[in-house]
Amino acid sequence: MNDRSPFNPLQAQEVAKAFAAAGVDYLFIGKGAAILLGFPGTTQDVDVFPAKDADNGRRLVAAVRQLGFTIDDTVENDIIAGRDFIQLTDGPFDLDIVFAPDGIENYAEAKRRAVTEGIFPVASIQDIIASKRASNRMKDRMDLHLLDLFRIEYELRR
Amino acid sequence: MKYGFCRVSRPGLDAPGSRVFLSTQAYREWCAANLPAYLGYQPAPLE
Repeated sequence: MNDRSPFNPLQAQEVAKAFAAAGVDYLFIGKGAAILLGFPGTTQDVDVFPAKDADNGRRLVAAVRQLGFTIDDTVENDIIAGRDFIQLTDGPFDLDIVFAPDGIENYAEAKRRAVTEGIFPVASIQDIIASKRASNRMKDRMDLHLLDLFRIEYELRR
Repeated sequence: MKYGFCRVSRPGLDAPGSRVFLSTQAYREWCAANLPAYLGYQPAPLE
């Protein structure tokens, strides 16, 4: 027993609250999503995987502006159009909007497999790992072994 | 680690302004061409 504070992912909380208020249909994905499931890592940015439709895109634009991101008309249109990968750095933290993550066939299937952790809609650990495996970057390769081990423990406790 | 989300310097990625890629592959190629290798965004070598 100790008196340490529970895990408190403030950036993810801000995203979740703003997206919920705007009615955005999305999932957390990437290493941040794994952290929300309990993986003991760190990451710099928040990755979200939104449903790709224009109305959801408009809600997403409203939500990220509410969070304090500066979005010009061009980027607004790109979000509404669902461009595959949009990286926002003009805001309180880095936010990657990923409409087409590697290794995941489509949003509907990912949503069906997703879990809800508190206020966080999170891609399944299987999809998080599949996406990292498919992207095949050096930093993902370094994480994958530990993520595979985490998945075993995560699935045992669910 | 209290927050899980940390702020460190990432040359290239920290450049101001939004970046939009028409495909995830284009994003991967941009990372490989523009970011220092030590950030880990380069393609992993074949095992």
